[in-house]
Formats: sequence, structure tokens, C-alpha cells
Amino acid sequence: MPSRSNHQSFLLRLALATGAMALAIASLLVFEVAQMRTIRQTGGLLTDSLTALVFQFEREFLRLRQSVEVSVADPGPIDAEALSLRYDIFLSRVTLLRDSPTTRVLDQRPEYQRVVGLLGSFVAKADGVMAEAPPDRRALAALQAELFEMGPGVQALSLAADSLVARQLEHQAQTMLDQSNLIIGLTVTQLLMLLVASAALVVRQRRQEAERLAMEKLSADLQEARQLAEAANRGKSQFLANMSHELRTPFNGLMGMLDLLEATPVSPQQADYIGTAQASADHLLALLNDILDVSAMEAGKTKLKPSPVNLPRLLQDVEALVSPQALAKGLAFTFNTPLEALPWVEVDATRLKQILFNLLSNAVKFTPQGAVSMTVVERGRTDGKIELAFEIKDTGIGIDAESLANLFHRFYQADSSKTRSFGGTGLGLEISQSLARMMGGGIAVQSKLGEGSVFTLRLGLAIAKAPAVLSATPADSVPESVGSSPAAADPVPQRSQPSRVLVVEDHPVNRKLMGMLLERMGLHVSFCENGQLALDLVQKEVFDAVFMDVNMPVMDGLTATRHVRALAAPVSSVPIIVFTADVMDEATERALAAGADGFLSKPVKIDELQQAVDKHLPGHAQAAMGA
Amino acid sequence: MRSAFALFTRATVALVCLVLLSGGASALEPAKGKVVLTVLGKVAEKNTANGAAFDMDMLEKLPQQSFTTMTPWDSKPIQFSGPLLRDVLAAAKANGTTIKAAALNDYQTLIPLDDTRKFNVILAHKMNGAAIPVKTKGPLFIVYPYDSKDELRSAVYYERSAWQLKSLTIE
Repeated sequence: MPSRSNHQSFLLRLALATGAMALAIASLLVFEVAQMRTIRQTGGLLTDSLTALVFQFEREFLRLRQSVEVSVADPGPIDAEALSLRYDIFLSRVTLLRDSPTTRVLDQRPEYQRVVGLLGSFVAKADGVMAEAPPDRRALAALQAELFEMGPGVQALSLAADSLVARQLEHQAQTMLDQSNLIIGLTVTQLLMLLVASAALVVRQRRQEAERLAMEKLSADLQEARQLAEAANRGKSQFLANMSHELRTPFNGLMGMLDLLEATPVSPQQADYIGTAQASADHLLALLNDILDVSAMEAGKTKLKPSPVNLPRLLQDVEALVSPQALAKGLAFTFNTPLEALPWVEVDATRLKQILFNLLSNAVKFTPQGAVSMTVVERGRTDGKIELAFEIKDTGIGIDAESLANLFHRFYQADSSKTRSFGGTGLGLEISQSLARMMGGGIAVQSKLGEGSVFTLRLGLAIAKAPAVLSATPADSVPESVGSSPAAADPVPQRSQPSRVLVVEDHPVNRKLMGMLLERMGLHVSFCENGQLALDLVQKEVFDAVFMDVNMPVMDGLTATRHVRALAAPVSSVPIIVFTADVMDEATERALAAGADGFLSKPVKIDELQQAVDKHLPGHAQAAMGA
Repeated sequence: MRSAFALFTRATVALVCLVLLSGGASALEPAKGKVVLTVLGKVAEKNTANGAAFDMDMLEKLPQQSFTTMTPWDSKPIQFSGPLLRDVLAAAKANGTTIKAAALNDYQTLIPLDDTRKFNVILAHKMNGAAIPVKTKGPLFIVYPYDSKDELRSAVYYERSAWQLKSLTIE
């Protein structure tokens, strides 16, 4: 990564700069120490002033010379004591000049060597002269001459010492200056390095900030892309649901017309064609229902509606649906269940039937010969609950291990080549598994290629109390989408006057279909195209029932229903049966909440319509025609 | 009669003088030998008209101190001996703030009287056990114990170290 190598090289440079700075500081320290030592050294050398020492010597030299001169010139007696004191003081100066560490710097100067040499011979002579009291005047005169001779040398020594000290001071000043320059140079270098380092830090900081911003932007872009992808996916699902829904409306007309055509006088060959067309239509309807189910599950709209269910009756209904399919294919179908041992349970009957029907249909579909069986086994019963296993077994083509792993996934069929030979959306097992899980159970499968399969639905269900009076109604009261048992159409006493019904439907084909179906049932049918017109009509004419579509222009069916219910009696109590292509669970609820008495899903089937008419128009004369 | 009176008068003056002298004898006797140091100025104890004069004998009778130290004037350490300067000043009952020290060669230096209390400054009359002649900075030499303290090894104290000392004037 470029940023990583950048980072490392930056660290390296920083480390180098810091190291260089440390070196600079170290050398600065060395110079400081050296300077301090120099100062100490000069301090030590100058513990006593060289110039003062030499000057004092010269002074005592001159005073001695003057005393000697006075003694020689004065004709009176010589003051021996005073002269001796002068000489002794001079001697002390000579000793200092010779021995003091201060004069060591003068050692190599010719002026010093000369004076010291002359002093040696003079002191040797003078000691003898001064030892006598009083000293001999002539000897003193000789000493005087020697002192005068030494004069220029002594003065030269003074000047030499002076120049030496001056040069020493100059040298020291120069040294100090040099060192100061060095220190200034190092300090400036240090300052520059600090500036460079801080500039590097600023650059680094900016680069990191830019990288951070780039990362943030990337992250935001990814987030946006994800949201777009999700939105697109949702859009597709929505489109699929809408399409399925829209397909149901023309399909309603198609199926209705087939039903009507079947009831007309046709030749056996035509009847066969019609039967085939009906079977195709049924298949297509099943596919649409599957897609709608999956869409609803994906949207989280699927809700189970558990109610007390007579389990043996439900199983018999399923058997009644499946065994004709099996027999038609030449398969043996067995149903091994001790029905009397099974209790009433709390379950969504429609959905349980859907699962069992799907598993059994698959078993029949994928079994070319042999047998299909269903066994219900009680696995355990605890306080108010019963564990059941519904085993659906076949002797079919079986499933290989790899396919087994993906079996419950969407659109999956054991072999894509088989999809064509067996048909189906591939959604069935996914829907069944999802429903089973919603019920708190699951579907397991055991299979080997070529040796058939066993699908096991396991459910833990609450045991329900059987209703006091066993009614003759079907196990579930909700209209079914998978299929329903044919209703027992009991003959009802005839009435002289045909009932009047109003069909509210905007789609002309469906309007025509509904009209034909209801007229065949012996009803007098009126039509209108939307909820507003319906609301006007029911207030002008008297109807025994209203069949109300939901999605219509101007005023929809549910709003119209609410308006009718809000009218004065007896119009407000007219039975209203809502029919719609929207088969989502909540559609029924909305219809009932709006005040509808019944609910039919499109495509409307003759037998369901017949049931609704029987239920809501009990006094109506039944048409003689069979559905 | 007149001479008898004069004699009497003289005798009286002599007696008074004797009494006065014997009264001061407990403090400072007159110098018997050659005077080596005169303490002048603010001194309460005088044995001359101007101040207190000391001969070598009087100085040697004071409590003696001895120490060895390096000096800037020699390359070897030297042992100095002599009375503490503050003892000498006490003997003269000197009372002031500054001592002006003067040497035989007319060297002059000022010493704060505090120095004599802060440091054991001595009035050395012996170097390495021997009396100090004039030709080797004698006979008296004001010496600070330079090696005992860093601050003493500086020009300030070297300047105060007067040799060939002649007199001290208390101001």
C-alpha cells in the first residue's frame, strides 16, 4: 500500500531528523563544556595578576635603585637599616618573579630570561654588599651602575608581560567568539531542523486528512451502492408481486369463461380440450399463488391465523385432493393414520394443508411408478401440546447428496433439466419450509438417488378443545387458494321472485363473467362501474346482495362499503361480498373491517361463488345447473 | 620648698601614671621588642599614643593556629602558623567595619571586619615552621585558609592577603 510505505519513510525521516538534532545538541554540550573549562583555566592562570606582579617588581627595583643612589650621593652616614629593608622587599619581589606560578607563561620570553639572568649575578653581589653594616659606599656605587644597566631590561620585561596578557586576553576573546559562533551556528541548524520537522508533520497531517476523507467518501459511496442494490431488489420483488396480482385479473376472465364453456353443450372432444385448458389454468394459478406467497413472506406480510382444527378431517381433505392425482398416474397411495387418535389442534388450517399438499404433489410428481404414502406419527404429548411428524414417502427418482443440501433454496430443483420435465416454480419447498418454521416446526428430508425420498414435517401444536356441536362446515372457514373440497350443495326451497344483485366492477370482461355466472344461478343482475355509482344505485333500487370489486376508479370498493354501512336501514344491512385479486392475508381483514359480509379472491371460481350466494342469499332459488 | 613641692608633684604624677599603667597591664602591655605591627584607628586598647603596637613576642603569646594550603604565589603547599586575626584585633579591642591593611612596600588593601569572623584568617609569622624574613613576604602575612572553601580561591581574597604587613587601621 502506498500510504503504508509513505508512513514508514516518514517515520524514518523523522527518526533521522531527531537523531541529527540529538547530535547537534550533544556537540553543543561538548562546546559548552570546553568553554567552561577554558574559562576555569584562564581563571586559574590569572589567580594573580601577571602585570601587577611584574609592575610591583619594577617598582621595587626602581625604589631600591633610588635608595642606593641616595646612599651613594649623600655624603652623610648611610641609613643601613632602611637600605636593608628596601633590599629585602626587592628580594621578595625577585623571588616572586622567579618562583610564582603566575610568571610561568613568561618563562620562554627572552626579556624574562635576560632579566632573571642579570638578577642572579646582581643578587649574588648585592647580598655580600648588604651583609655589611654600613655597606661600603664604593661597592654600592658599583651596584648602582649595575642597577642602571638593568633598567631597560626591566622595563622591557614589563612591556613584554603587558603585551603577553593583552595577547592572552585577545586570544581568549577570539576563542570565546569562535565558540559563540559555533554555538550560534548549531542553534540555527537546530532551528532549521525543527522547522523542517514541523513542516513535515504538517504535510503528513494534511495527507492523512486527505486519506481519511477519501476513505469516508469511499465508505459513503459503498453505502449508497448498497442502498441502491437493496432498493433495486425490493423493486424487483415489488414488480413480481404486482405482476402476479395484475395477471390474476385477466386470468379471472379466462377461467370463468372456461367454466361457462364447459357448461354449454359440447362434443366429447371439445370437452376434453376444455378440461385440458382448465388443468393448464389451474396450474398457472398455482404458480401465481406461489409467487405471491413468496413475495408476501419476503415483505413479512404473511401472518398465521391459528384456529381450532379437526385434524382427521383436514387430513381427509388433503387425501381427497391427492389420491386422484396418484391414481391417475397409476401410483398406489396409502394413508396410514389412526385418525381417531388425533385430537383437535390450534393451527392455520389453510397453511398446513398447503404444506402437506405441496409435499404430496411433489412426491406424486417425482415418482414415475410405485407408491406414495403419508403417515402421521405422534412423537409425544405433553401438557396441552402434541408433537406430530407427517411422513411423506415415495419410491421416486430420489435426490443426490449435493442437491439435497440446496433443496430448500429458492428456485432450486434437483436438476435444472428436470425443471422442464416436471414443471413448477421451484418455490414450493421454500414456501413449505418457511411456513413450517413459522409454525414452530420444520421439514427434514432423507433421500438417495434412485431410491425414493422421505420428507418429514414436524410440528409441535397446541391441543384445542373440540367445539360442542360438530358443524358440517369445512375444517377452515377462510377461502382457500390451493383448492377446496367441493361444497355439499344442499337443495334449498325455491322462491318465486328472483333475487336482485348488484355487481360493481370496472373491468368489462370480469363484469361480463360475473354477470353470466350469477345469472346462471338464477339471479337478476345489475351492473355499475365504480363505488360512487354503486352508492347511488343502492339508494335508488333495492338489492338482495352486492358483489363489490376493490380497486376501482372514482371510489374504491372498501370506501363504498363503508359508505353503504353508514346509510340508513335497511339499505345499510345489504349483504356485501368483496372480491379482489389481492390475496394478501390483510386484504381479507381490510374487507371485513370495512363492513363486508364475505370475501372472494379472483379469479372467482364457480363453486366459491355458489357458496357465497348460498350463504348470503339463503332464500334464493337455486339454479338447476351443476357447476 | 619650691623644689620639694616640685618633687612631690612629680612623684604624684609618676604614681598616677604608674597606677594608670598597671590598670591597663591586664589588657595590653607596651611592646618590649621591635614593633612589627601597629593597630590604628578605632581601637579601645592602646599602648602607644596612636594605637596598639605589637612586637613578635606579644603575637606569639596569643593562641596559635596552623594550617597548610596552596597559594597562588607558590607551586607547593605551605604550612602557615600564627594567631587568628580576630584574636589580634580583640587584644586591641578594635571596633569597626573595615580594616585597612598596609604593607612595608606601601601595598594597601581593605578587609571587611566580617572576614575575621567568617573565616579563620591568621596573621602568619611562620612558614613551614620558620620565621618569615622580609625577603620572603615576612615578617607578617595575612593568610586565608584558601583550601577550605571554594569561594576563598578568588582574586577578592588573594588581594586581601597582604604580606610584609606593617599596620592595620580600623575604620
